[in-house]
Amino acid sequence: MNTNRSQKPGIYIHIPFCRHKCGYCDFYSITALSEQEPFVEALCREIDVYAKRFVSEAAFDTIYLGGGTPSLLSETQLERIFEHLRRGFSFADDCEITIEVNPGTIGFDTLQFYKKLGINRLSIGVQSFHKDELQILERIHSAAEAREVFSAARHAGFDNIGIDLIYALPGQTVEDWRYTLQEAIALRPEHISAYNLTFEEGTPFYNRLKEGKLSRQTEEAEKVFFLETETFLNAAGYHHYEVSNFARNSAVISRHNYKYWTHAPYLGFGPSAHSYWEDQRWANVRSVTRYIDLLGQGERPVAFRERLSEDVRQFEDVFLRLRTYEGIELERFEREYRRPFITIYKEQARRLLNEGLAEIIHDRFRLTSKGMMVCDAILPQFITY
Amino acid sequence: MYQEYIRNFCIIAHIDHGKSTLADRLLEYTHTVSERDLKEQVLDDMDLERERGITIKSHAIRMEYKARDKQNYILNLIDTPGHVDFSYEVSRSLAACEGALLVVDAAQGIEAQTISNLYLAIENDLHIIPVINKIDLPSAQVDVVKHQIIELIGCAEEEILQVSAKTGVGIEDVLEGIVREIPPPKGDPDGKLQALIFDSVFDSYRGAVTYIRVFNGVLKKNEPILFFSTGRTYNSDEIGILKLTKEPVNELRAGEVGYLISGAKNVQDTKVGDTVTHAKKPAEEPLPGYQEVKPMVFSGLYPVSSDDFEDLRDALNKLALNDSALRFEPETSKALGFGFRCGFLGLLHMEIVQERLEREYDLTIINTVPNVVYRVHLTNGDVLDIDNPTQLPDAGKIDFIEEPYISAQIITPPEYIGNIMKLSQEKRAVFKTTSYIDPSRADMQFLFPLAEVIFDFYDKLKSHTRGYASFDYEFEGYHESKLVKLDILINGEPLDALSTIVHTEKAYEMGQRLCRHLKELIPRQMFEVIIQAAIGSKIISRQTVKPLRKNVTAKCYGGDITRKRKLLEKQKEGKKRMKQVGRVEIPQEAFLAVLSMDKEK
Repeated sequence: MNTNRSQKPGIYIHIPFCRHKCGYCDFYSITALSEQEPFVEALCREIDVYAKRFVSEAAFDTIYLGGGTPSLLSETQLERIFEHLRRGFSFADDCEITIEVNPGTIGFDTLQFYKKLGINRLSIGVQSFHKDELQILERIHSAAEAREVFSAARHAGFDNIGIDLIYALPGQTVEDWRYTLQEAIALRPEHISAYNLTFEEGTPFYNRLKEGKLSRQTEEAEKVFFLETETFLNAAGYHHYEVSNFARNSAVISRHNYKYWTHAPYLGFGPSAHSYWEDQRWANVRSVTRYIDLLGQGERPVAFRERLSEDVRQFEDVFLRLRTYEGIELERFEREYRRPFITIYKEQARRLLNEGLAEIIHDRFRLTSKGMMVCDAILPQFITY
Repeated sequence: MYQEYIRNFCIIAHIDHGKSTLADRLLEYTHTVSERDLKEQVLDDMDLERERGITIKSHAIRMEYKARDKQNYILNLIDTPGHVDFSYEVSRSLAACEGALLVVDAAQGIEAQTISNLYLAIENDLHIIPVINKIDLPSAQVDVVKHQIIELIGCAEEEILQVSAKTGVGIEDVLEGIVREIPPPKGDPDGKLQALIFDSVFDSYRGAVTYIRVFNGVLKKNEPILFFSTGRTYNSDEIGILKLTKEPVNELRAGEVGYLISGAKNVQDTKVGDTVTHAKKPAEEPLPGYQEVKPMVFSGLYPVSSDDFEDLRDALNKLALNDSALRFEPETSKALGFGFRCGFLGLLHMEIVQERLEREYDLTIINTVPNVVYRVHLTNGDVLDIDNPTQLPDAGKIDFIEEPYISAQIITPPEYIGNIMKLSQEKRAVFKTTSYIDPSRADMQFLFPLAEVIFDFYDKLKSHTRGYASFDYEFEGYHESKLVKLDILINGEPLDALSTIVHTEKAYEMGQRLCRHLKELIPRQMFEVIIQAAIGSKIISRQTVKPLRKNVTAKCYGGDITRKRKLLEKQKEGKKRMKQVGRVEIPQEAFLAVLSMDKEK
């Protein structure tokens, strides 16, 4: 795929607030909305701290406001955040600026305001078009509200909209899922993320699964869902470009998410946000109050750091790119690690190619659909340390 | 005479009943070590021993004690291993003593292992001093335990000492008891030299260091000596006594305990139970009781990574320097490549060797199902000893097969006789007799096929008798049995490392269970894995491990790549213990599936 992505840096901002915490969600957020104001103040301070350190860097070409529920921020709060961003960093003219929104939290006016602020991409947390399924997922919106917010967004002038969906829900049939997909493509979004439901440790869903109160789909069924998703969306003109991501064309793949998968540099602001910069990775504290306190004391709210050794970086390079359908560009890989991919991973590559789990096409090594489905069993083979 | 003031003794106790703590207190009380010097447990100095709570190799230590009678005594504490795999070594340690402390936990009471060692001690004519330990525990039942002891050894109630090794209560009574009750060593210092080797360890600088008890005569420094069993002569380069460190002396006289460094290179030359005498004026005969230690259990050891073969050989060579019971020779498996067939005293010994290889030499090892040595009589009259099931000739060439039997003694409270009879039938035992030692203790005699005992017999016996039965055995002889080879095929290919020899009547059920169990142990792969059990060319069971259908994380957790990477790294770590056999990855545990079948869901 011909992409427009670059190795320009990106910025992620984590807005850790939700009206209600959905039982499956593993991202960090709290429901004490009263903390929002001091949080925004701390966030602006954090942006300023980094702005000084990264002042001379190349222009950033993505901003991504995720959460949590970023659409819970007030207009003035968002304005302040963007003010600090624009003052502190330089941005490319075509900078992709995404905000995650939840149906039921915003109306047309807010969307117009987003547009005015320079936001040019929306990621809508639709998850399902079934009433029952939305209830299982503990979503606070209806299917109708999802459609409403989508058309309001179009109306406000957004021409790059992604919607998030979840499949393999307890009790869901393939027909149920096909209905959600059908409703989704009827809206003609530019981008669709379709995630297999996962039971992450520590979430209420995980606990209910352990207690036997929730049932998970069989692996065989998950396979059917995965293949059905690909077939269905391909037929509707969407291109499968990463395990869970589909785009109408190469111009509307998520430029920001691609940075994660290609070791591009990114700065993450807000609690639990991760950053990656020149082989250094660090993560912020996973607590709004700690975050506020530390920044109040003039300290960086960092809880974890690591420097990637060359071996580790090489493995990450392989495992991240193999999750994309673009795979590994053999020439770039050899340039970067000074040895051919096929030499380093001779045994692994031979086995995967023989078993039809991988292929070499246009000087790229990539997993086939069959391989992609068992990706997690394949990737550890590429650890060389 | 000097022997009046020597006492040689050991401590008999069940694991966790406080042997090591009591030993520590004795050493402290006699100022043999200061509290500060005292590592947690002085007598156990191998990591592994400490973790398992088992003193695997015996050592000795000498204390000096000024008793209430104002005399100075030399007390030699000789430590003993506490597992039936090492019963021969225990018996040689006991033979070096005149008395034993029988230590019983005040809360736990007498347990199985204590009894067999106690009987060994009584056989060796040791004077027994009963000691109830841990009397400080809130759950202590001193009176109950007293009665158990009285019934067991028939002592008077007043003879039983009560101590708390933890708090130090009663330690002086123990020391006085040793001095007063245990007879001094006899033996003629003017006679011909006879010194018993009760332990032998390898030191990388000094070669074999031998622990000895002199029974007759005097061993002097720097004189030619002879080891009876090997007939080899060495020189007594250094002799000494054992305090916290070795202290050289010029002579060791009859009744004394100490060490000997003779230039012998390794412990194969200085065997436990052997007798040391003078080369020029040798004793007419050795001390009684020496046995050539023979491995009873064999298993293949293979490196997971074939590159580690030479490292494994080196490591085994090094372990053998210090372990006279370990035998090994190279062998080849079609499935596992190059490895070694190793002989062990028993399952615990096997586990210890495996753990030491992994821990001390950082090797990852696959060990195959342990087996005994079968004696195969061929139709052409030849007789083969087979220590590896894959060597079993074709059924057509076999006239009959014999397998080793042990004669076993099980001592149990009578209420468990029924359970034991049932268990022994499952294990193909031949019942001989039951007699009563006293109304609360039955002595049952059986003949067991050794192969049935090496598997899960101890655990089963324990659970069938709530830990009350004690078990001891000795080799009895070979008897004919109806045996067949059970093969396991993975995707149609025989996996030789999983072949076992089983009794005909059990083969069918065993094949079924083994396949079911392997199905649980072999993780799903990219393709279907078919597991079959076969006798000759006849397939008797089949199971399928379904292929992986879908295994891919939906999300990479935002920018948290580290988390995903760590999960993948952990998976890889798990794979390190897998052996690639053809296309199939087989985990270490699968090779011992026979041993874990009872845990099958």
